[in-house]
Amino acid sequence: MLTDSEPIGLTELRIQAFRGVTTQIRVRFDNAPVTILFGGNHSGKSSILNALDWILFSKDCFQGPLVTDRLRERVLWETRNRHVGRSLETTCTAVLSNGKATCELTRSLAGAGSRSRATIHIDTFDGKELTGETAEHFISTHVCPSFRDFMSTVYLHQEVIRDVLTIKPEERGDAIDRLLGLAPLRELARTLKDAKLGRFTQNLDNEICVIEQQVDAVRRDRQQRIDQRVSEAAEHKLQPQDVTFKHAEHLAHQSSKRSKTVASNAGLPAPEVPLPATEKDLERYTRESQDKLQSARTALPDVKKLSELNQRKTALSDARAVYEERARQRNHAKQRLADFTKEKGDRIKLEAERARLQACRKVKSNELAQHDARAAAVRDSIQYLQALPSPAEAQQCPVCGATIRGDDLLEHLEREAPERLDARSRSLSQELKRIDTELPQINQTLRALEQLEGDLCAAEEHLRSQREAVGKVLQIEITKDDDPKALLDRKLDQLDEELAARKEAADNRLSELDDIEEQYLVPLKLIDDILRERARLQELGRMQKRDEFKELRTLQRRAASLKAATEAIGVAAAAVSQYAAKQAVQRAGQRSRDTFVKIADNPEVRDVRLVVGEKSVGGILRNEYTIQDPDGLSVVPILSQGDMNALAIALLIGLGLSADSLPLRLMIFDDPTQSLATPQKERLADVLDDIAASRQIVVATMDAQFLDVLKSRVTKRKRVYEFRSWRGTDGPQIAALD
Amino acid sequence: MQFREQIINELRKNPEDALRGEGLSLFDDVETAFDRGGANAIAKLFGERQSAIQTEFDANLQKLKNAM
Repeated sequence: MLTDSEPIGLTELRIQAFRGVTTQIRVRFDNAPVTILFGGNHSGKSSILNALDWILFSKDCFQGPLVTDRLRERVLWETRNRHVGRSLETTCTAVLSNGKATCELTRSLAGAGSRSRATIHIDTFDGKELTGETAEHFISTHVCPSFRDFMSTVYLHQEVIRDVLTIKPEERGDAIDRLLGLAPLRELARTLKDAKLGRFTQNLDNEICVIEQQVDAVRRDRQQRIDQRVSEAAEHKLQPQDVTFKHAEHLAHQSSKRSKTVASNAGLPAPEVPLPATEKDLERYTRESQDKLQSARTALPDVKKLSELNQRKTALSDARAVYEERARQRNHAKQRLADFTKEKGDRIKLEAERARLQACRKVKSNELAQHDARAAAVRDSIQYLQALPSPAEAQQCPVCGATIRGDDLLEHLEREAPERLDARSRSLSQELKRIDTELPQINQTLRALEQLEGDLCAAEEHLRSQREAVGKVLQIEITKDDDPKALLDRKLDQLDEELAARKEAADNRLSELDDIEEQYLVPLKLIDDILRERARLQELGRMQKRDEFKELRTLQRRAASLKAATEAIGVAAAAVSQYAAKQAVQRAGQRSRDTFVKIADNPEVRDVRLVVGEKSVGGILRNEYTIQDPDGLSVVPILSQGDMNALAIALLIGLGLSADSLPLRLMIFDDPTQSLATPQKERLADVLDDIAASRQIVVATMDAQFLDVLKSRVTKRKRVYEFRSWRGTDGPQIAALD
Repeated sequence: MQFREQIINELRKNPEDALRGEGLSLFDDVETAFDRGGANAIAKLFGERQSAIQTEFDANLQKLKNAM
């Protein structure tokens, strides 16, 4: 991918509104063999180094497509400084030099927030201006192919060092893979495994298996139906060899012939049903023939006459039933009236008794009035006599008629009159009271008599009306001397005789029709059913030869092929990863070993080899790195943290120096002295001094002792920047110390 | 893809030649998806391929069921 480019170095970085930087700062490297960025935590060193990543690789340096490529500390990375105003554009420029000319690469951030977009502008060594894809292509061909290469040959990031230091083999494998630029292969293998095509193809296999089972089940069901129909056919004297279209044709022909004969004999039009031409026509012929037979059953003259006679019989029977009911009601009313008059008397007697009581009441009333007047006169006489002197002559008593001496009449009246007069008055009153009781009773009896007479009259009227109705049904005039019931009975007897005669004739005709159905049409339908079921069974037998089934098989093979190809790509990716790892380790080989031994200076470890193996993790083949001594024993258990750090540095140096085709002759060490003791720091400085002969070195450190060591032991020209303080609103305060 | 040629060479060693038929086009698609969107793009690619096969499969399956 790289063209034959001349080696290039870093001359200058200009950074504005990027990460921890606010207003523009300029850091000059001037192709010095060694540049040291010294300062404490959050003093802005990393922002300077990150700016170079961003200029070259834009968002790939913090949001690359591969999970394993991403640096954990860069998750949710903010490119733009959050304290600067809108007027200050985020822009970073790297000035590169090839010894003859310079090239400026400027990356800017257009827009704000999630809609922001990074743009690139390059002034090339030969004075051309490039933007967009062309500019990105220039970087990959003239500077560094990818962020992965950058991370494995240029920039030893703190996180990579930490991961190599870990004793967890898997994390170490990830880190060294990343260092060797093999993360894409690991990611590819993992992703292909995650596609879960095994389950997909298994599901397709299962579905095909299910449909085959369903076909078998339906086939068994159809065969059972055929067996059942064949058994029914045997009951209709159809032999298995008769279940053919030819025999069905014969039956249809016979059926047609018989139907026409029967219709002719019965005086009906000949039934026209076209004979079946093919097997598919059998169902139509059977259905139409059955419809014709059914029509004939109702159209037969004998059947029609039988129906009329039955209707007539029903009408007569109904008339007779009504007449009998009306007669019964009339007789009942008559009997009730007779019983009443027998008990209470007839109307003449009851009205005579009422007249007698009314006359008697009138006489008694008058008598009581007269008596009351007389009693009043006696009381007046007594009062009169009591007021007069006693008379001398005798007088007759107005009450009892006795002759009384004159002076004794008053005494006689006072003694006799009140009792006699009161007794008579009471007697008359009692008689009147008895008459007043009897009169309402006789009136009530007369009203009951009127009701019964009315009921009888109504019943007589109903009966008369029904007689007329019977006359109409019988179509004769019924006189009072006729007995309607007897007339009806006689007519019904005549009808029964006629019905019996007609029924025999109708039954004979119907029997002929039933015979046609039973002999021809039922067997025809059975043959049709069996032939149909056999055809469906044959269709099922051909199911697996259908295009749809073939297509299912093809799709099944496509899915299997997809799965196989996917697995093969995964396996190939793992194999290439293994091969590439071995190549890279071999390439870095002796240089890495020498560097490690020199920096670590562990008396127990005079020589180490990075051995590449493979291990299946969750079905994915992954590179596994072990660090062994010449005897093949793992040295990790006896390596200190400082030794492991030395190993990471040694790997980067080995890989970086072996990347001869890489134009960017730069190696960046970010905080390389973790866990290193003073002697190791000194040896690291010596190593850096050595490689500064062929690579431009940039070291970022917070280690003041290491700064002093570098100053004193690195013999090449150095630029030293001290990052003295940093505040969010002001950015880093940088001073050049050299 | 940085290791394209190596992977293809490796695949050609496969006695069943995984690059036959859909293999090569699949590899091309995988490579394109990988370069453009990494794991998510590959997952989408396989999702679409599976879905296409499944849809066609279901349609034929339904025709067969109807034929029964």
